[in-house]
Order: sequence, then structure tokens, then C-alpha cells
Amino acid sequence: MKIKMDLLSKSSKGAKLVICFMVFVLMFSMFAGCGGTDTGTDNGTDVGDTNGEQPKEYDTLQIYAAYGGLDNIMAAFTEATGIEAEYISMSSGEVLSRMRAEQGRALGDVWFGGGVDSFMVAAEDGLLEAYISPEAQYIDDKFKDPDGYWTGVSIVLVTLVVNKDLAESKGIAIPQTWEELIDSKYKGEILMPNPGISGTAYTFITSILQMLGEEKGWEFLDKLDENAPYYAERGSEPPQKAGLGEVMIGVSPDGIGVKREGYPVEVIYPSDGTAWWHSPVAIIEGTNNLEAAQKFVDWTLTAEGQAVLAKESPRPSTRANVELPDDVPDLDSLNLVDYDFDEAAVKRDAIVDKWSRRYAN
Amino acid sequence: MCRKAFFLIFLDNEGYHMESYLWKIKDRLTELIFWGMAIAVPIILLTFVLYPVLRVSLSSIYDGGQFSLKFYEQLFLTEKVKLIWNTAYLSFLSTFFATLLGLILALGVVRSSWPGKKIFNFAAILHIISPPFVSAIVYIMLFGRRGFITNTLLGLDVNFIGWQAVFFLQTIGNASIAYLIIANVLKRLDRTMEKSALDLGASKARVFFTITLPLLLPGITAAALLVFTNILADFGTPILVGGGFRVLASEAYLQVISLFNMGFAAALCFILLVPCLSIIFLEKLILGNRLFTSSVLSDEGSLDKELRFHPVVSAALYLVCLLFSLYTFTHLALIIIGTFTNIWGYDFTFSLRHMNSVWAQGFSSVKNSLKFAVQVAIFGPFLGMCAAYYLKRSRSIVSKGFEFLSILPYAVPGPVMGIAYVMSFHHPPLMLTGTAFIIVAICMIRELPISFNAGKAVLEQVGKNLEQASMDLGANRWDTFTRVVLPLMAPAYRVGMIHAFIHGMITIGAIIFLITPRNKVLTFEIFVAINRGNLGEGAAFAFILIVMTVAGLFLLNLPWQLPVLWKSIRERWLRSHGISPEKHYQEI
Repeated sequence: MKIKMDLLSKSSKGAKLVICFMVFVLMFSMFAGCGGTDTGTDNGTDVGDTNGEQPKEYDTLQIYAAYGGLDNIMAAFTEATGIEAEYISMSSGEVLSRMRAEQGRALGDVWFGGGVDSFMVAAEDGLLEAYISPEAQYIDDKFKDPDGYWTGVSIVLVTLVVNKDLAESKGIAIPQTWEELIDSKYKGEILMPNPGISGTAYTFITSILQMLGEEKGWEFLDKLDENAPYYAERGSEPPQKAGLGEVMIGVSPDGIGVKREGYPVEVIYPSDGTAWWHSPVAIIEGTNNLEAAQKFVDWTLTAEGQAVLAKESPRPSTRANVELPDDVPDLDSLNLVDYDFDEAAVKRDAIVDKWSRRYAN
Repeated sequence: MCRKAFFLIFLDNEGYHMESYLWKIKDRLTELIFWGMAIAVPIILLTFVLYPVLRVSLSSIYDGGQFSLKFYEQLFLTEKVKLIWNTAYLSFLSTFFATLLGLILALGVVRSSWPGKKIFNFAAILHIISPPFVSAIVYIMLFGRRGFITNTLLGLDVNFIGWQAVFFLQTIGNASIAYLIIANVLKRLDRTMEKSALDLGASKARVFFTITLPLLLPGITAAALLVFTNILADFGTPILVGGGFRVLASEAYLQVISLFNMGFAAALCFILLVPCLSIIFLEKLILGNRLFTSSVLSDEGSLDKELRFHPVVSAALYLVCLLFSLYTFTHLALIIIGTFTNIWGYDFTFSLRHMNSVWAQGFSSVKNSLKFAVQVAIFGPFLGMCAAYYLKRSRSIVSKGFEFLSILPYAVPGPVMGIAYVMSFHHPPLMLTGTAFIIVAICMIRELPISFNAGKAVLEQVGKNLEQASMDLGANRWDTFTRVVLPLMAPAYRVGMIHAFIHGMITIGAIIFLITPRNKVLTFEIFVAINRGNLGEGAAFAFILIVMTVAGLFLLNLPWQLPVLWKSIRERWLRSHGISPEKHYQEI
């Protein structure tokens, strides 16, 4: 008996190892069990419920988006195509950073909305999948990439969001042009983002440099700098602060959003040149849900899709003859800057660098 | 081995032997559990702590695969060097005042006889669970140019945006953390020494400065160090209200999101690691083991009269507490107002439109937040306890190293850790990005130091004596483990769990680079809503987050609260039936 007992208590090394391993596996599976469960299940069930009439079932689309009203847009897309879509809101810079980090194993399928300059960089770095949608023929050539890496879905206008209450109480006229902005009466009242961070601000200053020429352009920016209290770290800060009355004027993309939210602001499209860019849609290179991604691109460019986009996010469409909400201006009524996107992309580092040295906080 | 055991147990018909086998098996099992920990804990620490941190540090000195100090040149030899000064003076200033405010709050709550202590305590906790980003918006509404206090009440037209605003928000935000730590030490302070000094004729002021304060010093130091690392890691506040004032953490964030300059961001992260790491050593140096030994004698009963402060001092302390609570409750009220009014800060008519738009988005982010937080709350402290138990038992230089790894995450700022995880876990062999697992893992690892320290403190307080005693009295390892060690660990587990749950709910910095469309969480929704300018929607998300956190904390506390509650109900019942509870228990 005693011998047997000893055998058990000083169990052989092999048995010891086996048990060690078991406990170890148990611990690890507890550690791992928390996350592993949900990745697989979502795909199947989500799609299965909704698309009875769809002949083919697709995985849920994963969309990196910089757009307004995404919930309703996604719902409309699912209704039209039967494909489920999940999105995450990020600025263009963030999407670009992500795609670079995820290169070789893409986690997103579609990149929807953002600054066209970032799309150009991404296409150059091989992060996008070329796709020429059949619907793209209805989009003006200047709004799409000739190689099909991206296609513009809407026009983003750089606006001035002006707080009416503040202007009234201070007795200052609401500016109608960007040239008025350097007037000393607006001292401390003009907030714009840092162009190193915000595509809006970069487009704004580069538009001015292109319109006035380098020398006069920088002179103008010098004077503008005297009126700026500081430069914001987020593109959305100026319209927000203008809405709350922290500053009178905020340089902002899509200023209508603040107005629709209900704040006492007026949205100004400078009559001496409104800066703009087109906000594209693109397929991310390496997606394993290509067909669904293509369907998404197609849908955003159809007349119905464009109408949904214009309704949910107040921007002019790239496709002609799309019905726009009342508060969205018609492109023909605006004086758009004749903007050279290629030049702006090439000079970006130099301009941002020069700007930072001159005006950084 | 199992089969052998079966064989032996069932063939042996003598009870005595069976018992002895069981005894042996349990003994073995305990040892094997220990060995399981011995393998799992180091592996987890190496993969999820050391590897990412090394990876991020190394990537700051490589550019395109070649060794280069370019990023450090970029930092030290350009105007960016200003960042270091900004970070240094802001951190020291905010840390000093946050700790001071925490100390004042603690003294006010613990050492004064005024009413409303519970409210102050509640305010401090409420502040800890308040979601990120929203406080900045509230601040603007209160103290901005059109702010309620500055403009509407005082009629000023001033702009409080800039480093002062960052300083104010960080001080207020971290004071509650400092308060909780200091109050905990203060409550358990040995009062006999103070009383003897008073009896011997020392003045109250003298007693306070020569006895109370020195006794509190370990607690104050611990609080200050925690606050310091928190502030170093804070990137959100400078971005939201800094008005262009940048610190290292916010610059690193902006470098990643706007310029994809991972190398430079890594260099910034590495610079941030230096003060954080030195804090770990500083803490060891200053504190040693004093924090846990000075608080052995505890008497949480009523406060003796002679220890009360002079009425004037008391009133001053009380005023600070009152202002702090007022600010906290205004903060909460404004969030609720934002949730249920038409336009936050402008049009105060009742409206459900923000709630409706949150409803319309479905509950996926609410569900995700809760799911992650619960998982972190359950598994996080488990890992911490295992690490504490294992490292306590094995004393070698290697285990000292692992101990360092267990508290290292506390010194690594959240966004740095997030960047490190993206760099480390996207490509084979560990392709974890995009899964929910990595989000839970990073939260668990970031919570590890708290539960590790709590577990370690318990084990250290008990020492090996109790276990030894249990063994000497004839209990085997298994019984010692299950009946002595585990019950001792339970309170520490609870501390870790509560921390982990709160952290899992409100964290954003660490996971912002790891979230995918499928794994959106509430804090991220707040971030996006505020960034898009939908302030009301941000408020609504924040409100839901607060409610969920409070409800979750309540539920998590139930296992500990229920027996107490049951006992009090029972006693009340007994009393109402004319039986004194003491007598009743005696009879039983």
C-alpha cells in the first residue's frame, strides 16, 4: 500500500507536466474565452435574418466612415440591397493611419467619406482597390479618379459659421467674403483648425495661396493670424465653439450641421471663392468582402443613394440632377475656387511646415 | 494519474486510506495549480506587457528598418522641445493641486463633524465614473465666454481656454482619486498617537503637522504618484480645451491620427515612459512597505472630540468640500439637461430627440461596453490575484522582474499602450487586432497593477504565518488554499473588480486605436458625437454610460452586500418580534 501511495504523491514527471498543462490551458482559455466567442457568430445570423429575397448572402460590411447621418444611410443601404453594414466614424487621418497599420490584413472593407487628399495618398500607397462602378459614368470626371481608386460622392464646402447672437450683441457685421476676415474688427473672433491636423483648414489656406499667389497669400494669412485667438486641434471645434458663442466665426466644413442642430448661426459661403473638395468612397485593398463592397460603392452613386446621402448629410451631390434639401446650396449658385488638387497634394508637407513655423500656437 | 487514483480509491475498502489518498490528491492539485500559474502568469506578462512595450520603444529608434535617432532629433532639436516643458510644468502643477484638493476633501470628510459627509463621498465617486470628454463640454458651458457662470451670472466676457482650463479640469478630475486613497488611509490611521500628543499638551496645529501629516505621507505619496501618471497620460483634455496647448500625450495622439507618424509617436511615448517608470522606483523608494503597515490598527467608529479641527479650519474645509460637490452635481445635472433638452446649452425646452437618436442606433455599443466591462471585471482581478499569489510564493530575481512587469502597465499611458498593441498584435504570429479579445486583454492588463497590488497587500499583511498555522494545525495545502488564502483574497478581488469594471466602462485612450465597427463602445460614441458637433447626443451617451456604470457597480456589489442586508433584515424582524438578536444568536 505504501508503495502505491508514494507513487501517487510523487507522481511521475510526465503526469505532472500533463496536469500543469491542463491548468495552464484552463487559465489561458479563461483569459481567451472572453473575446473569442463573438467574432464568428455575428456574420451568419445577421445576414440570414434580413435578406430573404437576396439570392446571395454576404458577410456584414465593415465600413470606415467620415460622414454625417451614418445610421440612416446604412439602414437605407441595407434596405436597398439586403447587405448588412457596420461602420465606425473616424477622421480621414485616422482611417489612413489604420489602413497603414492594417496593411496586409485589412480589417475594413470600405472607406466612405473624408478628404480627397487622403484618398490620393492611400491610392498611391497601394491601400485601395481600384473599381470603376457602372454608376460612375454619371459622375463628372473632375470628381473621380481616372484609375477608379476612388469616386466622389459629395462636395464638402468650406464655410464660415457665424454666431448671429454674438454678432448682434457686438454690433459687428457678418462677413460675406473671406477677404473681410482680416479686418481688425474680427480680432480674436475667428477660429480655424490647425492645417496639420484638419483637411478643412489645409484646403482653406491652400485655396487662398492658390488664389492670391504665394507671396500675397502668406501676407493674408499673417493678417488672419492676428485675428485668430488660437488654432483648434480638431476640425469640428470651430463650428462647435461658434455655435456655443465662444467665438463669432468658425471656419468649418458642412456648416449646415450646426444650424440644423439648432444653434443661432448663419452659414456663409464666401462669395469671393468658396473652398471645396469632394468626399469620395473607395474599396480597401485586401478586403475579403469585395462583392458587397462593390455593391456599396454602386449604391452610393445611384440617384436614390445620392438622394439619401444629400438628405442625411447636407452636402451638394457629385451626381447631377439629384434632389437636394432646401438648406443645401446648388453648386451653380456658388463661386467655387478653381482648386488644383494635385498641386495641393504635392506641396502639402512644405505648406504645413511653413505654416507651423509661422503660426503654431 | 487519474486512473490510478480511481483505481486506488475504489479498490481500497478501508476508509482511512481513502481519506489519506484524497488528502494527497488535493495536496498535489494545489501544487499543480501553483505550477499552472507559474507557467501562465509569466507567459501572459511577457506577451501582453513586455513585448508591446519593447516593440514601441524599439520602433522609436528605427526608421525604415535602420537604426536612426531622427525622431529624437525631431523632438529635441526643433521647437517641439517645448512639449516637454509643457508636459512637465502642467503635470507637476495639476498633480500638486489635485493631491492637495484630495487631501482637503479627505480631511473634510473624515475629520469634521459637519453633516453631508455621505454626499461628499458620493460626489467623489460620481466624479470618478464620469465619462471622458463630456466634462470639457460642461466646462465650456459653465466657464466659457458665454458660460453660465462667467457670462450669465457674472456678466464677464472672458476666454478661459488654454492651459489654465486643462489645469482646472485635470485638478478637479483627479482630486477625487486622490481623495479616495487618502481618505482610506486617514480612516484607518492609528489615533492613539495623536491623542497622546494632545494629552501631553501639544497644540492642535502642531499635532497635525508633526503627527497626522507624517502618518498620512505614504497615502499622500501613493495618491500623488497615481495622479501624476494619470495626468501624463491624459490626451483628451488638452485637445478639447487646450486651445492649441499641447503636451506629449496629445501630440503623440495627433501624430498618429493626423500624420501617421508612428515612429515619432513612439519616440514621444518613450519619453513619456521615462518619468512613469521612474515613478515606480520612486514609489518603492519613498513608500517601501509603509503604506500597508501603518494602517493595521483601525477604528472607524465615531470621531473623538479632541481630534476635531478648530471651527474656522473646519468651516474652510467644509466650504471646499461643498464647492467640489456642487461642481460635481452641476456637472451631472448639465449632462442630464443636455440629454433631455432640445439644444444643449441654448434651447432648454424638453425634448427626447437625443435619446431617440441613441435608441435608433440600437444598443450595440451599450451591449459591447457592458460585455467588455463585465469580462474585464471578472477576469482582470483573477489574473491579478494569480500573479500576486504566484509571485509572492516564488522568491527569486526572475520573479522580481515579473513583479515589475505586473506594475509596469500602470506607468504606461493608455494611448501608448494602444499604439504598442496595434504594432505588436496585427501581424502573425499573434493576429489579434479586430477581435473583441484584444480590447478586453488591454483593459485587463491596464488594470493588472491595481488588483496585483491589492492581492499583494493582503498576502503581505497575512504573511506566511497564517498559512503556516493552518498547516501546523493539520490542514492540508488544499484546505489551506481554499479556506484560508481564497477568503483572504476575496476583499482584494472585490477592489480589483470594481476598479476593473469602472475602467472597462470609461476607458478610451488605450482602446481608441483598437476599436472596429463591430466593437464600438459607449465612450467611443461619446467621442464621435462630440467630434461631430452633436453635443446633445454626446450627453445622452454619457448619461447612459453613467446609469449603466452605477447599475453595474450595484450588481457587482450585491454578492458582498446581500449577506449584510439579509442580516439587518433578519435582525429587524427578530426585534419586531421582541427577540434581541444577540440573544437569538447565542441560542443558536
